[in-house]
Formats: sequence, C-alpha cells, structure tokens
Amino acid sequence: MKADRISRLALLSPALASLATAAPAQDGSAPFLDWTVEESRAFGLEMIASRLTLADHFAPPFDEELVEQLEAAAGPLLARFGGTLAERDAQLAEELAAALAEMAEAAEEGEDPSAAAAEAASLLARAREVVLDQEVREAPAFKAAVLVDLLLAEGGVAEGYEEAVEEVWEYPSGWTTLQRVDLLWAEIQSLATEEHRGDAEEMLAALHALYPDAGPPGSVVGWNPEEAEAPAQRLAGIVESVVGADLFPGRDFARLAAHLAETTGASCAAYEVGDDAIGVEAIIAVHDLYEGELAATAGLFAPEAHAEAQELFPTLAELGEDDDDEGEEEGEDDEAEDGEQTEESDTAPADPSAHAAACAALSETLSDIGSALGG
Amino acid sequence: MRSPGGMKTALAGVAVAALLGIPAQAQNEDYRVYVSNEYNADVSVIDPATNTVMATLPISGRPGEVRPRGVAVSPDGRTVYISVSDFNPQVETPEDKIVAIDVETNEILSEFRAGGNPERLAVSPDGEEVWASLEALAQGAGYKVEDGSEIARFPVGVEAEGVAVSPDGRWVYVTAEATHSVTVIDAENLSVVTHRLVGNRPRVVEFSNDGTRAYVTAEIGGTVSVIDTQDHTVIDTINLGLDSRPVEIAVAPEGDRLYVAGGGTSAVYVIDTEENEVIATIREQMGRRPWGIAISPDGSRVYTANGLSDSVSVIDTETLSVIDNIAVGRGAHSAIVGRIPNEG
Repeated sequence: MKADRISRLALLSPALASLATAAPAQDGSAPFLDWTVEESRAFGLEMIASRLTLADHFAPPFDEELVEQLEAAAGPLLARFGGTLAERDAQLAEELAAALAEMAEAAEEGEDPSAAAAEAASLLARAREVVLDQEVREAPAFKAAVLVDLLLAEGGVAEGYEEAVEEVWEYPSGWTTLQRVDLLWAEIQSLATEEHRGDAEEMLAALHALYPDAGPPGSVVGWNPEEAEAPAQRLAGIVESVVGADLFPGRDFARLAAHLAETTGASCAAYEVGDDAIGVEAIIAVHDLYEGELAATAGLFAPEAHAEAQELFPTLAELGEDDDDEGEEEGEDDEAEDGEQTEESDTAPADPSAHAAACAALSETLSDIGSALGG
Repeated sequence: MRSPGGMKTALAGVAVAALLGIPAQAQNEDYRVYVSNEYNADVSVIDPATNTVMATLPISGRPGEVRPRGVAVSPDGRTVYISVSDFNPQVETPEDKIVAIDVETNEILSEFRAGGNPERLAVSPDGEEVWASLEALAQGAGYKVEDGSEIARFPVGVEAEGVAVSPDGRWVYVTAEATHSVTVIDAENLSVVTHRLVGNRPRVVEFSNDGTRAYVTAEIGGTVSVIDTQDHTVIDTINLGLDSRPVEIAVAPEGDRLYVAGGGTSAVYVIDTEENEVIATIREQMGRRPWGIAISPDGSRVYTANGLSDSVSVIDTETLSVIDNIAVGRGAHSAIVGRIPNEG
C-alpha cells in the first residue's frame, strides 16, 4: 500500500471545487433534471479520480479485474465528458486521454502506473473546471447529487460492497469511492443541522467500518452483500434533506421519461452534424437514468418500447461495463457489455444521418414509455 | 393483559369488546410478539405483559450467512411463519425456506422449501396457504401449509418484496422494488390479473380489514399508495415526506388507523384511513430505523422492530407515545403478533 500517495492524489484531484460553505439549501431543485448531462460528467470525473487512486494504491502486477477498471478510466468514463472537454480545450483533452491511456497500458503490462496516474490526476483537476461550469459545480445540490451517485450507482459504495461477493476487486472500487464521498460530504456538511450531521457521520462511520481499507477481501464467507446498502441509502436520504433537493430521480416515472425523451431529442442536433462525442455524453447520461430508474419498470409496463430502447441505446453510444450492469443482471441485451469506449461502436450507424435518425427514434420511444408510465 | 376470572370475565370481555368494536377473539387471548433478527439468524419472542424477551428461537446456526426476514401469522394466531434465506439471492439454496413456529410452545412445527430468496410472507384467511414473495426470481408463490407443496408460482415485478392476501382470500398482491409495481394474482383462478404502478421502491402491502383497500408503502417515494381492490387501481397517495422511508404497515383492529414504520426518520406515522391523512408522527424515544411493525390484538399497543438500534419500541396507541424499548437481536427486521388462549 502507498498511503502517502493517496493523500497526495486526493490533493491533486479534490472532489469538485471548494464550496462557499454558507450557500443556502435549494428547495425544490432536482439536479437530475436541471443538470442531467453535467451530473453524468461529474460522475465520470469522480470515478476516474477514484480509479487513479487505485492505480496509485496497489503495486503491479495487477489483477485482471483491476486492470479492467483502470482501462475504463480511459474509455467509457472519459466518454462522459470527453466531447465537451475537447470542444473547450482540445489540448487538455488530448493530454488527459494520453495520460489515462498510458496509465491503463502500464497497468496492463504489469508496470508501475503511478507516475502516469499522478499526471492524469493533475490534468483531471484542470478538466473538472473546464467541463463543469463554476455555478454548477459549486451548487450544493449538485455536489449532493454526485455524492448520492457515488453512494448508490454501479461501481459506487453500496454496489461495490455487494458486487465484491462475485468480483473481489469491486471492493477496492467501493473503498476509493467512499473516500470521494467523504470529500463531498465535507463540502456540504456545514449546511446540515446538528441532528443531520450526527446521523450522516454515523452512516459514514458504518460504511467505513465495512470498508476498513482498500484491500480486496480474502474471503467472502459470511459476507452480507447488502450490508452497505442500508447506511448508503440512509446517508443519501440525509443528504437530500441537507441540501433540500430531490436526489432520487425515480419518484415520478412519467416526468423522468419525458425529460429523458427531451434530453435525447436535444442531443440529436449533435449527431446531425457529426459531433458524436457531444451526443454520446447526453446519451450516456440518459442511459444511466433509464437503466437505473425506468428500465425494469418499462420492461413490465411497456415491454415492446423497452426492447426498442434497449436496441437503440448501443447504436448511439458504446455503453461500457460501468454503464450497463443492470441490463446484464436482468438478462437484457448485453451487446455492449464487454467493450470499453471506442471511437466507433461496432453497432453504430455509419453516417451522421443514421445516427440522428436513431437518436430521434430513441427520443420518441422514451416518450412512449413515459405515456405508458402515466405521462 | 391476562384476565383472571374464567368464563364470567371472558363473557364480560366479549360484551366490552362488542361495544368497542374489537373482535371478541382478541379479548380471550394472550399474545406474544415475534421479531425476526436478520443478522442474528434468530427470532426474539416478547412477553407484552412484562415487555421482556421471554425466548430467543434460533433459526440457523450460521448467523451472518442465513437470515430470517418476513413474518406472518395464521388467522387463529397460533402459528407464526418466518421466511428464511441466505445473503446470496442469485443462488437458490436449501436455506431458502419457510419455518412455522407454534406460538404456544415456541417450537418449530415444520419447515419447507421456498426457492428463490423468499422475503416476505402472507397467510390465506383459511390458514391453509402461505404466499411468499421470491425476491431473486421475481415471482410470487403459494404453498400448502399442510405439506409445503407448491400451489403455483407467478411472474411479478423485479425484486419481489411485499405480499398480502385479501381477507376474502381472492387476491394476492405482490410488490416489487425495482419495477415499482404491485402484481395482482387471482388466488381462486390462479392467474395474474394485472400489474399496477405505485410509488418508488414499494416495500410492504397490507389490506384493510374489510378488504376494500390495500395500502402499499414506497420507501424512496416516501408515500403510501391506497388501492381500491374492486378494480385494483390506485385511488390516493398519502405523502409521508421524502426522508420518511416507510416500510411495514400495521392496520388497527378497528380499521380506522394505519401505523407505518418510517425507517428514514426513525418515526411511526399514524394515518387516519377515512381521510387518508397523517394525523400524528411518533418520534420521541423511538428506536433507530424502524422497519417492522405490529399491533396488539386489542389495538392498544404497537411494536416496532428497529434495525439500527436492535430493539423494539412499544407504543401506547392512546397517548401515541413510546412507553418502552426492548433490546432484541441484531438487525431487527420484522414483527408479528401471535396469539394463545389466555391462562385465566
């Protein structure tokens, strides 16, 4: 273990930006509606930061599972914001992509990736300020939304603990994500009442008790894979109260489906002009919310439309392991399970007009699903 | 709780019960509270006369690997059923079973397989069938109590959770966390009637005593959906607050109130069933993260299983206040009341 480096990396890539601590709670806001794509970008930034921590924390040679996680940083996680970064700062985008690729390549070849990881962490901190506008990244509700994503999303704290039963290297992933949660909580905790702060810290302590260190568990006999879920869910609920925002997108299915249809529709313009990297960012964000909140329900109440959506998503964006695990669990289309993000999906249409048509079809399908769910 | 005086007192009890609209049966019986302890792999039995644990019943010798969760009771109150599973819902194992406990002796009467991670249970009004939500398989299944044979299985939503049988035995409702749905099963014709969308992450469903309504908690939604069982449609949604995280429901014997365990706020929400409104929220002295909840046969006490404080809170329903907290096993999950003839 290289604990001294962890703190250095944490400094290089602080969790979002420092907070104006007295910012008021944002009653009525819903980050998943207000900042749908931005939240996905931030999640990508955070997850890459956690992968870089892993690269620095463990010594080669790396387990294959860990190598795959590190490769994801240069693939599907980077795709969450890579288009915007390239549009706003092409040189930084190239440098970051190169550093992440170098880190992943070193890990794969059994070499020490920590130098490349440190370089990538430094570039990532700069990228964060480029791809997330200051007003957004400093909003407490936005930070809270990202915190909840890190707690509950695939690859996050609760899921990492649960998945470790079958893939032990999910545990270190959950551990590093928990360190990111700590940083984000530190930035919003001043908004909490004393009671909420006490409750939140109790939940964090419970999670840290489950994640005492980064090392993968030697044995999972007697392991309760769901044990992290209760404190993670409780912490998410507390955070929601602290910032006064709606952080659970699935409370109104019809509204969410309509929003996803609209977000998808808006991204079609990027596909029309061949700017796929920008379109992909929106599609990944939409897919996250669809898989996390609507897919199972749509499968029950609108199975044909759901099947159509499942076919259309991978034609618009390669959805790597971090984006599509739910579908795998439910036995759904796993066409894109294995792949990391590549420049061109195997299933992607060859020309911009085909991309745009698929995008429009997806938007319409999501709208139909919204109608089936009461919209 | 116990009423000395034999038949005379019992008859007087019936008269008083009739005046109060309380089932006469309740007046002639003592009761015990059964609490499943998820992480201890055992069941705590509480004597309500003393508010102490009178017995701890081991369900498995492998705590941390095998967990009791859902509880149900036969209509005569004499048998408590516990759903048991392991912590690996992807794999069907011999640990996936239903255990029947004799309330009078606290001995295990029988057990039978219920494959697919049975989470919660409900007993038919004739006491002959137990229905289970099979979490891993996204199914609802019915079993004959007599020999454990399977009656039928039906596909429901993903991550089946709550289950209830209507008082007339006609309908079985099964909730599903991931699809936010309630599946209606016709238990007479053995067919799926429909799926209904309810609030986000539905947990528990309970029927009203007259069977005209079903109530479904939604943990993330922070709501209780009210379903008209005539056509199985959601006719009202009671908002408890986003952080309430409601789980189990206890219906008062008179049917006028629901008591809802709010795991998020460590509170019990009291709902007037005529207005479908929250009329009180009990927080003071409550244990942490109440998930389970049960009510005494006479409706005077409510018991909550508190998963974070490993305790049971006892609520006086007249004053709507916590009057005691009882330490039970680790990970108190669900609570149910079993009944036995009184000793008077």
